[in-house]
Amino acid sequence: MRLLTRSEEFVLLAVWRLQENAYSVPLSEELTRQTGQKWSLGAVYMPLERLQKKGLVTSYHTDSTSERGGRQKRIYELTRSGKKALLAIRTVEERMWSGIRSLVVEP
Amino acid sequence: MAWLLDRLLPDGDHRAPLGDFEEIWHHIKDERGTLRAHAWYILAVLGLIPRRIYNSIYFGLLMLQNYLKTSWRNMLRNRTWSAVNLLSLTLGTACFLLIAIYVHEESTFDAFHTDADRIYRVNVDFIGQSYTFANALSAAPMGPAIQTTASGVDHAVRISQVRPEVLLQVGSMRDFEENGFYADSTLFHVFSFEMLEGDPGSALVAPQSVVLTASTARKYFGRKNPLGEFVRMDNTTDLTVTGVVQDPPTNSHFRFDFLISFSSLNPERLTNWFSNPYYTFLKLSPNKSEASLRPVLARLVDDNMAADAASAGVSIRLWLQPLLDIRMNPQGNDLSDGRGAGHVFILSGIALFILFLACINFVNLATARSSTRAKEVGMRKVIGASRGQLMGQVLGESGLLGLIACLAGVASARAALPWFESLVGRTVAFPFGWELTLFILGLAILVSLLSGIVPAIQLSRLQPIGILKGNGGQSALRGAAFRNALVVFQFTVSVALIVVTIMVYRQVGYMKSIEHGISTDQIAVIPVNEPQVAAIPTLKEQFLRLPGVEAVTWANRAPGTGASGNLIRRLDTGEDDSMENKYIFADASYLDVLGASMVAGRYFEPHPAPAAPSLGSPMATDVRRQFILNETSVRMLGWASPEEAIGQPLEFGGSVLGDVIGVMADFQFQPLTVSMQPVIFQYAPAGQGVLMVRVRTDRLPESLASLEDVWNAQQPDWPFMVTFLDDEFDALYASEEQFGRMFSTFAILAVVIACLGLFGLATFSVQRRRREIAIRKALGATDGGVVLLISRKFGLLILVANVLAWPLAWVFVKDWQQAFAVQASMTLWVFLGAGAISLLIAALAVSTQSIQASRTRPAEALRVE
Repeated sequence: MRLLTRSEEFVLLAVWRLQENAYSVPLSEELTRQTGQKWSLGAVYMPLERLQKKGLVTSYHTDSTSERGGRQKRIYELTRSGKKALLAIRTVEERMWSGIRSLVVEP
Repeated sequence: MAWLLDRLLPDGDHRAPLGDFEEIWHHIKDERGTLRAHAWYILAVLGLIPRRIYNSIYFGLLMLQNYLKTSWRNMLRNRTWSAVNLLSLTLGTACFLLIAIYVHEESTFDAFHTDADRIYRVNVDFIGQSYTFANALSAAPMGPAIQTTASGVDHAVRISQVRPEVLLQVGSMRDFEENGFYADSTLFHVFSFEMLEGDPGSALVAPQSVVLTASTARKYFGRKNPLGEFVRMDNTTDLTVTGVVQDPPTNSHFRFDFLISFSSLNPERLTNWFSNPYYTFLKLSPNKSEASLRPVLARLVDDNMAADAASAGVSIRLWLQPLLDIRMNPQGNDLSDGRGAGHVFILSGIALFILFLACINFVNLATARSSTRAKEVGMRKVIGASRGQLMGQVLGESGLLGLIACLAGVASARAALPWFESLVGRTVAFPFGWELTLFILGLAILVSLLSGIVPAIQLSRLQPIGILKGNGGQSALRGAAFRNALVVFQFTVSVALIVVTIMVYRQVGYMKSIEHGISTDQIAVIPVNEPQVAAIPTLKEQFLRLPGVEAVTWANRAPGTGASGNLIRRLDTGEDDSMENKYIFADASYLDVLGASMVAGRYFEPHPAPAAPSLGSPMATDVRRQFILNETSVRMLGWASPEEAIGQPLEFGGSVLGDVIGVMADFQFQPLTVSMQPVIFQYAPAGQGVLMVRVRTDRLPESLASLEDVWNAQQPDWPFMVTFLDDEFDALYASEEQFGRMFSTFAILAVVIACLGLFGLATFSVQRRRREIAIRKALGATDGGVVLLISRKFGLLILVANVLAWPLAWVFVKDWQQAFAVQASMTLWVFLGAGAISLLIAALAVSTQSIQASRTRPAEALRVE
């Protein structure tokens, strides 16, 4: 399979983590919290769009809610190949980490 | 803000992102207040803008690249079409560019001086009952008087020409110089001529100082530094070189070769308020307006000049003319040789017309081709091109052509510059640099808009369904009327220019052919200057003794070259009205040499009289003088017949009294560009002026040689100069001939451009009608019939253009001829000739195509399907 970019990978993971609440605003908050870097809305939109193009996520509009000035949310969820992609990434990562000398940062 | 956000977001579904922004806004509002929330929202939205702009440029460029590529391929595919367009646009832009540079220079004349807008010239208008004489010259006390009585005048400078010709000598190098001026020491405070050597503040202070221009210095001193060296003027005066200035730029109306300090002039001459040989320039303080000086000027007139003027029957008006206005509005006796705003206006008009003609070619060829391009347009529309994009594509095409044509135009304009300079009669500086670049870009945009906008609208209006059904040609036919109108316009301009050209040449020829009223053949003209005045009687006597010489006369001006004017007044009527007359001083043998005839009374007998007055020195008033008038003068002064005028008293120049002793037949003492003016002749045996020698035809070279020998024996220090009167008369109309050359050039350009367009249209028309022609031939049409079929339409258009152009040209020529004393008639033949020329040239342009069409074998044309 094709490897994803780091941001796509993180966003994909965040979508899985947030499950039903996986839409742009909580996604950007979650990613900001976990990575310690500022993820703007735009930084979330773009990977999401690419992921959707690659068929790793799908999205649907919710009914409008009053908290958003009557505007709809766009909730994302993993597709089958999305889930497979996440697993594949994890495998690759673990393979890369396994059996190497312990990494110590000297002071 | 939400609306703006909606516009800025990329294409697609905006519902969710808008909601997202709203939600975050709520978050921030809850946590940090409404104000912060609003601030965030606004900043976030505005932050999108740069990105959006970047995107649109990026994709715009991508599209542009595509358009350029298509345009380029289109150009290559239609070689004839592109060549015709490029050639005509190049001609058009080159011509436009040259004229634009010229007009720009004309309209920014003298602007190089620092604070040029604060510099004014004092003009003196003499206003009589029936005429106004506008005069750029003023009296010597004028400048100092204004400076002492008015506040806010920083500097005043007086300038006057030393003499039309001054002999300068350094060592063995000697030559006559034309542009020598006396100038006040304040010259360099007023004008910004750059001083190369010497001190601008003091260079013109001491008497007998001279400041040379760089080229004069080089001519007389070579590479030596001339500072402190001597220049001998007129074999009498030694001038000390106190400075060297840069040559005045070509766009300075005041151009000089050397300047002599004003203090060298005899101070006694500088008090006369009624002698006006000086140009007076003022530099006003910042914020001082010209209007605020008007009361001062009026008071100056009242105090110093009004009384004398009233006794001469005129009133005097002083006014300040801005330096920057002088080139466009030259006054009488002006230093500027400019031809004024009208000339510039005509040239600008022609430039625009020619550019327009070139653009029309693009319009016509592009719309004519629209049927062949209809499929491409249809495809693009089906695929989803918007109308704007299609228009953009056509504009891109015209833009590409325009840009190439402009670059080629710059190159050709640069190459044609020397030729253009001879056409307009002065040097033109080609301004390389960012201004030119900007101008070219602007021109390219103008050209592409002018030529692209109509085809763009037409092409983009095509309906894909119609095109793909196969009747796309329909709309091209609809544009035919429009194209015909444009062709008619092109040829109207061309024919009008041809008519004007013919008429300008006819006018010049006519003026030259008119009898001068005197005989000008075999008359040698030898200029004599002030230092030779004493030797004139001896020279005359010795010239007369030569075998080849028939008669010799002295006069202050040679005929044909014009004359200065002064006021004269009848004393027998008791009225106070005076009028300007030109005056000529001549000796007793004037008639013998020139063959002018007397209508009444007698000519001057030789009698003791003072030499003619020279510049700045007033005439002696104590002698009663004899006057001879020309017929025009008699008529204008109000006598019914020449006989009545004989014996009547006159006053000349406000103070000189005398009686009319004769009336001379009118002859051309000045060019026919001005109507015959009144002349008063007075007797003087000698003075600054010319010796005119009538030489026998059969011994011309020997006679000239012996004249020179006599001169050299008498005046060894002065070079012998000679011209012939008929040559001078021929040269009188140089400026009109130049005007004619200019018009003929532009007429040719216009015709070439129009014919290029016609050629392109004919090519197109033949292409489209290939099969029609083939079928006609197959059915028995002759070659001639086919040629006629193609040419007939164009011939008709040109006939219509002729009919439109004739009255226009007639009005223009009539207006132009107003300025001349005599007018060549505009016969029908002129118009018919122009019509024939236009038809003939157009026929040539069309014939190559139509003949080719008629030669094609029907089988070849029909085989395709």
